[in-house]
Amino acid sequence: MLRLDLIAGGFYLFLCLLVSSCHRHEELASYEEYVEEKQRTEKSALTYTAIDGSVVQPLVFKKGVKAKVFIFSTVDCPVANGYSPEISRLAKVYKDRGVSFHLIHVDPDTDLAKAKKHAQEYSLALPVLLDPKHELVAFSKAEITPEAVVVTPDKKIPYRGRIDNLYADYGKKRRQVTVKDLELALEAVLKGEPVAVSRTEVIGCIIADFKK
Amino acid sequence: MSETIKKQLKSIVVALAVVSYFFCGQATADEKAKEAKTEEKKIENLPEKVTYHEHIAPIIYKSCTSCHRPNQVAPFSLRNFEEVKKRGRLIRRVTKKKFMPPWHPVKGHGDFVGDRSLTDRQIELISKWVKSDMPEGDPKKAPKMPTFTADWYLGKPDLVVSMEKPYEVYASGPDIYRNFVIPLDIKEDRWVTAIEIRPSARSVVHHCLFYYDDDGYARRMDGRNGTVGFSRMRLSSSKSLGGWAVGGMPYHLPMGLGYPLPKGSDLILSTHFHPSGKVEKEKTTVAIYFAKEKPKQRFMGFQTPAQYGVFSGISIPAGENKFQIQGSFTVPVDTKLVLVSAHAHYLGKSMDSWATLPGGKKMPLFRIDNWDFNWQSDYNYKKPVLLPAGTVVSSIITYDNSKENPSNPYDPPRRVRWGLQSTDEMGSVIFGCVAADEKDMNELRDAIRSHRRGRTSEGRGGVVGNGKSSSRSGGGLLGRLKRLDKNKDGKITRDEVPGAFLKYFDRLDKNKDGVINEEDRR
Repeated sequence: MLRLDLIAGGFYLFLCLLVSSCHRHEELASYEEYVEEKQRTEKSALTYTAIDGSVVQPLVFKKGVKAKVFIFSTVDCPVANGYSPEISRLAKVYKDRGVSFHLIHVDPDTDLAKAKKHAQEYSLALPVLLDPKHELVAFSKAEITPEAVVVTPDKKIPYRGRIDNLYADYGKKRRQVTVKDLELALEAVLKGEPVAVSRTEVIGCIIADFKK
Repeated sequence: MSETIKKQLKSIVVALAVVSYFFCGQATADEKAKEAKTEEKKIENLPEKVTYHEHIAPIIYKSCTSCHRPNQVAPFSLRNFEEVKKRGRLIRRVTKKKFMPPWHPVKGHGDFVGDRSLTDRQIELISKWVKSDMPEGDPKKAPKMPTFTADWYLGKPDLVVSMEKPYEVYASGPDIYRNFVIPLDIKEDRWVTAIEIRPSARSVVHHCLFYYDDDGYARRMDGRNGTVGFSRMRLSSSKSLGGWAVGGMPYHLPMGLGYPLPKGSDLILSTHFHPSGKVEKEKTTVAIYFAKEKPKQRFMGFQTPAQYGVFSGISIPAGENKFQIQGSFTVPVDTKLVLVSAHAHYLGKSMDSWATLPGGKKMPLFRIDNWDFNWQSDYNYKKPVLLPAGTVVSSIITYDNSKENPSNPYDPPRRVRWGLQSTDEMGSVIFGCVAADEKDMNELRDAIRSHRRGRTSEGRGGVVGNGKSSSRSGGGLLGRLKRLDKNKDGKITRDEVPGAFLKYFDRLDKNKDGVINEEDRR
């Protein structure tokens, strides 16, 4: 008799624990969301000095800016460097259509002078920022250079991934690009449509390597 | 009646196909299980704690640092703990993918000098180190950092020459293949044992093949379109002086051998450029090493199939993902293979070469499973491979002309035939060899000559599974040459003909007017 009581009591206790842990879990999830939301609003104020000395707030959208594109890079990633002319071309083409491009260095060893020299060598025609603490990396959830991240004024990320499909794999360059993922995403965003392929895999250098 | 038999046959074939498919599927599943097991085993044997100084540094120093150091071809340096840790995850990824270090021949198919590939154990060590957060370990256990000479790797060269003018490589666009001529001004016949290259713009020079030109063709072509060098190269493996690709070290030919270099020849650099994102100027310098005396043995080459597959019926249907050609050469005398290289263009997928010894025993010679047009290299056997007289050297080249081949130059795919342009196809495995006994040299040379001219059916080879030993479509040699008539003016001039075919040119140009046209058909 006594034993049965014990078992029943134990079972009840177990149920209580289960319920409360589920409840806690729920609470935690919403708390995480809250933190994320808080971080987002705080990050809106993230301020950087670009290599030309201008002050840039990448997550502040001025009137008329419909989207921003962050391209994550390092000065010595050969894949990212190879894309320099294409990145400059896209930045120029979309500037008049309300999309502003930023190139963001993720290597903490890259200072303004190095970034400036690099931008001159590769004729980069877009604002170049340094993100040594990986704040923009964290916001964008970028993982590989040269990853392109499209951000809309509501701080949503409708596209994150490769610029196009030039690289089929490491060292495997296509003879010709057949899918221009970033352009497709931007066209959709500008039309106010959902992006068909919103995440793609990037071939390049791993950003986590540069975390200090 | 015959209809029903046909139907029955058909169903039997289908049933067989289904059964065999099932069995094959089973086999690969088993293989996969086996693979997974061996991998687990490997990991078990790894040290408990993998540290940089004890386990990783030896691998990096041996296989990475020679290129990954300042002013070398690789994009960043890997010389110490900090530099390696900073690329740890990337190193793990590219070594697992076997993209780095660059080495393409498959293990167990020839044993080559300068093999840079990592063992599975080394790859797993790196992986474990990265996954366990890259501990540094005890610096006392570190191996000595190798020293790299700033001078020429092979010591004092016999001759150092440079391109006269730099060639400008654009920032972005398709890869460039361009030839440059450098006058050598040598007064007597020489034999080249090695060439070491020093590009001025290391990040864009991917590989370079060396040739000599002894008839002034290259000088005439140089700068014709207003820029340094020329784009068309007449192929002639008999005028090869070897080659170099990124990551490669220069080596002297073994056994005192040398590539013949006739007096008065010009040096041709056939260079492949990867645009890097910025405009670069390349002015290559090369060091040439000569044999002290005329080599005692004549260094020769043969291809399987012969002549880059020109006789083998290369005509790859659009969408075909496994098109194969084959060809063989029977050595008439005891022969030693010294080196091997392969040639195919963008659709090339793999190549496999083996020797069938007189007793019927097969011996693997060379294999590349993932052919990449960007990596054309010579591979020197560590020990020359002795082939007894009567040994048959065979190769199969496989092409993928499907949409799934990322290197396919055409989208959508098109039928691709044999041709000189990189968007055409070719294919052969090229062996450098000597007669084991120099007394037999003439016999070997004559056999190679007749093989090269497509006089033997084994040399011409053919399409695998075609049942024919040789494809003669296109009206034989004249038909084939007519395909070279790119401007379709109905005649072919000497300039349009690749070097390997010049000897046919004179034979076909019956009235000796310097062009091949309908008149020569008589």
